Amino acid sequence: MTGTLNAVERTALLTAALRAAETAREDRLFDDPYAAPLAGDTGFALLRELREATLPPGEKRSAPSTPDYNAIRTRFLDEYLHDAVHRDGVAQIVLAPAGMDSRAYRTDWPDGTRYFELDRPAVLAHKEERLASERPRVDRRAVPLDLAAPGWEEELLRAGYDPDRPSVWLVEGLLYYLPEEDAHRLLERVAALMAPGSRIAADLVNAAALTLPDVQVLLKVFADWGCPWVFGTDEPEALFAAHGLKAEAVQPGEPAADYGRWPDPVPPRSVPGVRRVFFVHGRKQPA
Amino acid sequence: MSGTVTAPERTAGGRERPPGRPRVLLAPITVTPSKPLTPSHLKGLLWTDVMYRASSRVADVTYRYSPTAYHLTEQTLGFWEYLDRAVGDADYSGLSEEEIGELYVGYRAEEERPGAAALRPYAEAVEEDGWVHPAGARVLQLWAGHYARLGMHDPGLREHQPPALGAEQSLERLAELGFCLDLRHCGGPVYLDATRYGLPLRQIVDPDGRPNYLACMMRELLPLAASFDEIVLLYDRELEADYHLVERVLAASGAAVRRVVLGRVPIDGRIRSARHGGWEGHTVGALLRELGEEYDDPVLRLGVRLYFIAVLGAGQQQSFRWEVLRQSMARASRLLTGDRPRDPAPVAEVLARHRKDHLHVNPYRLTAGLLARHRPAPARDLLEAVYL
Repeated sequence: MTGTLNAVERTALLTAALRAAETAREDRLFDDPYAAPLAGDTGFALLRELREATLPPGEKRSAPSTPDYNAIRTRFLDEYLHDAVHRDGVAQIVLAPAGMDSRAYRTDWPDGTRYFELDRPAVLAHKEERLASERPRVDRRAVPLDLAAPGWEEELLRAGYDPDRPSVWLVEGLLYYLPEEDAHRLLERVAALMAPGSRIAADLVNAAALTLPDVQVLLKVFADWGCPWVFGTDEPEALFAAHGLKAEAVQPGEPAADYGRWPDPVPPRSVPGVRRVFFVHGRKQPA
Repeated sequence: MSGTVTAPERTAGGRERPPGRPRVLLAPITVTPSKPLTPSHLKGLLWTDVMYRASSRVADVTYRYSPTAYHLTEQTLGFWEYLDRAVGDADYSGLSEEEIGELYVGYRAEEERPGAAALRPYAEAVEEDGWVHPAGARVLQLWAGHYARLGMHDPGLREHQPPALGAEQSLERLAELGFCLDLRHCGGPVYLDATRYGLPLRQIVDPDGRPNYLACMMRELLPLAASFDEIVLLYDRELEADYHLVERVLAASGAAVRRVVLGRVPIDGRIRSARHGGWEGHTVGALLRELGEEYDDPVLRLGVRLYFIAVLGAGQQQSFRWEVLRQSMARASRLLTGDRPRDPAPVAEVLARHRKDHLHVNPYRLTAGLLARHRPAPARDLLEAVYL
């Protein structure tokens, strides 16, 4: 089944392997018992490759720590969804794309919550094969579609999504693989489906993270896999604002997204020429 | 969720307040004093304590936690009646909370529940004399000791804090607000009725006249609501449907209501209700026996707050783990004694960063922020004010 996944989709297996490795840590930031079966041999092989490239034995790490980043991102977004659902009472969750996310299985959700997983048919088929014996803890609705193709909105509406009701969207692990114009187009299409007040969170890198020498080893790994990072911005708030989404950006290592884990200093945003990653989160503004 | 009422010049307790300081009411769910405190209880108590102490630096905060108001529930009165019937005239003053908790498990396992007539004398003694059964008084005494050891503000565990409204008065007030469906005239129950908001009917008084915890809460909170700019309700996730109702009712009284939903702390991957026992080795008393000798008070107090607030977070994904709690103790020790430069910002400024669009300080954001390794260490003033 993994042979039918494209390069970006295979990184979802890497993410699952990273979550499995985190789950095995004593000081883990979350528990994902489904990550290991979702990752499979392919995911763990990708993780080995990544480790060998970015953490060569006896050498000091120079690239950003992917395991720490992944752990912090997962925990941050876990909490983001918890807040949206329990504090704001949002009853529609949309993952675009879903990848190997297992929150529908590993987290309790209030009755009446609809959990939409959008991704290409091969990705969702892989997940359903690996989790065939498991039951989601929510009204999970897998919606096979291609986020780059025209008309996926109709598929989501047919699956029961109500654009007039509040929703929360996660765009996790995707935007840096898309050319800038495609990232804009996706955000525009997502925003058009969000009722005012709905929430969205995504992760992004900045422009320097695509070019600085200390990131090259990491960039080369992804490029060699056929899924280079192609887009970054130093103004993530402006990217979202262009689509009616009032957002703020948090960097791993800042107090709101550290959890005692981020290993590197985080220079202030005013310092130029620094590699950065952002968790951007915001709300749809009234028209 | 954002309404603000005109502020009177005095707090609900009659204290004068400095001009310009907002008034915040913290109203966490109370724990019935019939069983030992567990990690789930402790999590809620520590979240509330940090919220209270931090918010008190930037607002005029009332922490309302009245065991008195909830003694009238069937859960409590039924247990007391059971003790007198099944255990008899015992000396509870030497019992541990675990031993009293075992008696409670025995009560919950009974198939028959005492009728309204059997509970009436107990209800009258609570209402008229402020009476507390010796078993309940003993548990509250032990809890007060835990609070003191953990440096938690005692909101009056052993004080007589009756609600300001009587039972009938509170139902009348609910009716005025349009939230009461009273079927007692035809032998039925009383419902909290927020169906106009799409919420289901919820029985709060049974056909025999016995109130549940929501009816007790209405007696306590309805008369307070209009005196505060913001009311923060902290509760277990399992009670979410009830608290949506409570939010509607209190908001109708003019207050901005904030709900803080906390997941429980699983033990070995399972979430259990303390009413069924199974707490052995995991009570707060056991935790203090395990760690109390090993760590001095500042490390213990900061360490448990780092663990139960920042590490576990609001959700309920992670099981209680001793080794991670000990890691938090080590972190606390480093924060207290390390040589990292300390944050020079005034405490009020640091706390204000964690208020966002509300008046109270978010205890999770504040505490999780202490874990960032490449930031200045928290100022000693902040630790003293909020954590020690």
